[in-house]
Amino acid sequence: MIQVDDVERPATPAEQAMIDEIRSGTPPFPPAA
Amino acid sequence: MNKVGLWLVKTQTIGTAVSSIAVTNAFSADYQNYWVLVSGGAASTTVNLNLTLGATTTGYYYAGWNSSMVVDSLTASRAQNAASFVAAGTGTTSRIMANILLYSPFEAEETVAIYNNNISTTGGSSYALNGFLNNTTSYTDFTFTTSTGTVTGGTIYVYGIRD
Repeated sequence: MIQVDDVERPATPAEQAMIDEIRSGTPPFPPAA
Repeated sequence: MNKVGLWLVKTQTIGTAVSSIAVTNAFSADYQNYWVLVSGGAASTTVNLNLTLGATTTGYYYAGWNSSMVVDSLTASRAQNAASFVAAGTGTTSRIMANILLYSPFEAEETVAIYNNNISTTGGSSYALNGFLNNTTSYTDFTFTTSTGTVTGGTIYVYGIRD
């Protein structure tokens, strides 16, 4: 689900593609232990 | 009273199990610079909140560091022409947070972002990053996208900083 202001709804295919693109560039967290 | 320094422009409650939150009409000609604060809520797992402006998913440049709270590690983090300002906020199963200073998002010039936050767990980490968006687009909206999982609850506050 995505949210635009107060409206929550399923992502459209284009919106999901954008989310996937943004997520693909996220580096891993540094070591925890 | 001289001038009010911060003016609460918009408040947005985060919904239930959402992977992205778009906030519209946040920026305008009323203010040149903004402070975006996120607090409360929780994430489904440890997440980064990646920030994008408008519909732009390219041209984000940033540099800084992240460091573990558990082991001695200091990792440089940088990106060129990335799809977002990565880790502009963070989330754990206990809280969501973001502390972002945005310069000129509405102006027809490069937007600069300065942000720092942490993963507030005993095995967590700390971030300090800043960068810019390499275009001269005027923005009114922004979006937080989780690096994985979802977020529930919490509030996004957008403050205009008076000149």
